[in-house]
Amino acid sequence: MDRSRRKVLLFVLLFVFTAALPVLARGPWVAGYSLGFSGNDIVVSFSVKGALDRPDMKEAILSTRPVKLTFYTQVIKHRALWKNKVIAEKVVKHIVRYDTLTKQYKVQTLVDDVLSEERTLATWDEMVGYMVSIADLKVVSVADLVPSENSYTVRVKVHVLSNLVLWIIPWSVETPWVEKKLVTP
Amino acid sequence: MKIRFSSRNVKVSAALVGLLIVSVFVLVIVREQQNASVASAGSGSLTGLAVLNVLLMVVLFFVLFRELVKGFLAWRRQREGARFRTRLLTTFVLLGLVPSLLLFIGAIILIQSTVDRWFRSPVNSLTIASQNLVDKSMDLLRTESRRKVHALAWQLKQVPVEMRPSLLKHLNEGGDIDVYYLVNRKGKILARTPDSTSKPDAYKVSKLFRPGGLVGWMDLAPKPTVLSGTSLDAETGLIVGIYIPEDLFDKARFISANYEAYLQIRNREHILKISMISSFLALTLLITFASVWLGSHLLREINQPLQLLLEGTREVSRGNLEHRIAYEARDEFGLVVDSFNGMTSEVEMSRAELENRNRELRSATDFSERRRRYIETLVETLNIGVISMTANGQVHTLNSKARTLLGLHPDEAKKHLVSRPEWAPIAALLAAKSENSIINREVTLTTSRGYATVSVTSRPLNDPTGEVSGFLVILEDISDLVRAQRSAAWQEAARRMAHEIKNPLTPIRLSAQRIRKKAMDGAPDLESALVEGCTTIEREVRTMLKMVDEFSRFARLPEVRVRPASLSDLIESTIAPYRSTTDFELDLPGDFPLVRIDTEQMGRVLKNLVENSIQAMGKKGLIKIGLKVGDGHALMSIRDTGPGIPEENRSRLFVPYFSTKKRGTGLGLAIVARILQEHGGDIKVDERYLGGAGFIVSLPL
Repeated sequence: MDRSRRKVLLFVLLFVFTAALPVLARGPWVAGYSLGFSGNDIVVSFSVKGALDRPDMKEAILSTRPVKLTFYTQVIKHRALWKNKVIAEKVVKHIVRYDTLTKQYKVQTLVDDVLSEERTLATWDEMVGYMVSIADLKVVSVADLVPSENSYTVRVKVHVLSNLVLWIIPWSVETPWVEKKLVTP
Repeated sequence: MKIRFSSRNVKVSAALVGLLIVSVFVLVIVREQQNASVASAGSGSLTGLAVLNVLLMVVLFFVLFRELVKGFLAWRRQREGARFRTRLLTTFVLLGLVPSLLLFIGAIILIQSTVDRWFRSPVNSLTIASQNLVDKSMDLLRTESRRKVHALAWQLKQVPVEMRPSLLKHLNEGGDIDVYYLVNRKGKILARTPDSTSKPDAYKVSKLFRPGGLVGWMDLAPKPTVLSGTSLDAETGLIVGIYIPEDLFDKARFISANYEAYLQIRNREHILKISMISSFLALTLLITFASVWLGSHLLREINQPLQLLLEGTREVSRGNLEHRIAYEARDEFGLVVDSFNGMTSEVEMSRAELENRNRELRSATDFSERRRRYIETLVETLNIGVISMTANGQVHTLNSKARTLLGLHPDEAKKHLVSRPEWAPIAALLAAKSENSIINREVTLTTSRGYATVSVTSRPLNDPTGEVSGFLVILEDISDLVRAQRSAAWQEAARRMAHEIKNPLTPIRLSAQRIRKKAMDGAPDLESALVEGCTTIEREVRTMLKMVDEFSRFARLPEVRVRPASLSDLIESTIAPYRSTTDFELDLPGDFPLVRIDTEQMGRVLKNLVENSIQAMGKKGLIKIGLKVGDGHALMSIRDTGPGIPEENRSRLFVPYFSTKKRGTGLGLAIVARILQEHGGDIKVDERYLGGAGFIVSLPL
């Protein structure tokens, strides 16, 4: 094998290894993503799978560490020959903290960093059910959209936590963006 | 003062500043790790450390990889200093890496054991046990509340629905329950503890109608309470609460808080370890990087002048003395480079000077060669033979005239000269010479053209130290001159002989005429005249005979046979007959060296000179005879107190037949000169002596 072929093979192996890294570390994913209308608002509902059922997450929660799931929702307007534009965005944070005295889970919901809901739940399943779902979240008003144009996309993703790969390389554990074409009525 | 910034200084300064910043950064992070609460360890600083570690690793690997590649390429190209560079870099890497790695491994082991020991400490065990105790206490309260709610529910189910609030109030007044809520499915409160202001939320109400109900729910406000609830029927439910004693709750809260802190630490145990290990890793990498970078920098510092010196040496060895090493430094390398440049400059100057000298020498050699050729041509065209000989008697050069005189063919090798018969008399002459003497002798050579009279002059050639390095022999063909001299001599001899013969003939003729006259006249005194006339004739004939003997002797001088003899003895023996009549003053050194002479011939020389002096002085006078050594010759002086020799006669004194005496033959001093000539010596008038006649006889020692 000559030197140039050896170089090419080396680069291919390096590329495959780099590309396979996220696959090898199977992360969370978005499930049940749906778009709907609530009055004049467009609402989204979706949940994240493979997040809190991780053993390390459960261990972290039961160790009373605050655990946060961040739900990103963006409405994107597609523009020809130009960069797409985010016209609306919502960031919802679900934070849970376990109380070893009461054996209850205190959960908080922050919408765009503003506390919108706080409740206490008795069981793990109830807490998980609450934490991993977003239901009927208003992302944009129909009035803010141009009806004749069907060039909007609503995309969502969930950031679970920041981790360190091999304890050295910072690695963000989150779902990939999931998009849905917005069909205006 | 002007400060110059070289790119190298800027790089070094930038690197040092960068290293300082990174070091401070690492120290700050490590410090933060130490100061941070255990619970919060490993949050932000860990990421910072991780980023720093990755950066350091990348830089370290880049530096190492670059140095390795450079070293490999230098080795492949067989560049000078590659081996030295690789060895030095390896040493620096090992010097930095090995201690750092050992320290790092030691730190990992220490951190592992320390953290593990901390989590297994009795304090932590106590914390866990305390929490268990709290859990048990709370579980008891939960069980109690559950038991109470089920007991109440059974009682309430036994009474009509409208009586349930009054029954609950009654039971509350009895102190069996602290708090109660009777609610319907929609959350509406049908009855509750009189002093209670809060109400169950929808979550709790919903739990009532689920299987299992509400069990052991804890409300912490307004007052810590354990709540349990159950449904009474499809539409109503009951919640019963027990107040947690305040001191128990405070202690339970305190224990739980500590337990939670412990759990959080426990949960982050590996992060804690990693953060500490990362700190050490960062320090290790920093030290290694610093070591490698410094090594690399030092390597460049050493390798650059080394390579320049090697290149310079190669250039100089190729003969490029104009090559100078462009390297400025104030360290020892700078000194070495300066010395190299100085040395090269001096060598260049020396070479230039040498080339100038060489040119001058070549010019001088050319001149000498031209001069030599000119002299050779001159010598070659001379009408005299010139032979140069080495000190040991070998012929070095000879010109064509010498070849002609000695019968050597032009193409014949000069070494054959010594085998020529013509060379024999010259060789004999040269054999008799002393080293420092100049010989001038006439020899007769038998050549193919007949006899030739040749004047041979040999004189030593001295080298600059004064040592005799050879001899120069000059051969002059004087055959024509000798013939002319001989002819003139014969003419003079004939004239003199005629004159000398004529002188006695006159008295003889007169005596004969007188006798004849007396006889014809019959003179009475005829007898006496006859006797007198015969006597005269007899005397004159004797004179003539003597004269003939002198001529004969001059013409036939015997061959000189030399042997070492004492001149002092010869002088003593020669003057002995004259001592009775003449006064002598002798100056004869007792240690005077022996001289090679023919004693008989030299005695004749001495006798002739002494007799001349006696004749010149008359009966009174003094003869001084002295001996001394001068210029390699024995010098004998004979001085008298007579009238001396007139100036005009001095040049002709040794010419044959010249005489100032009335009856002299003029051959005495000529014979003296010839005898001395055959001895290799000489005689001359002592010009400095003014007290009479003086002669200096010189003989070779």
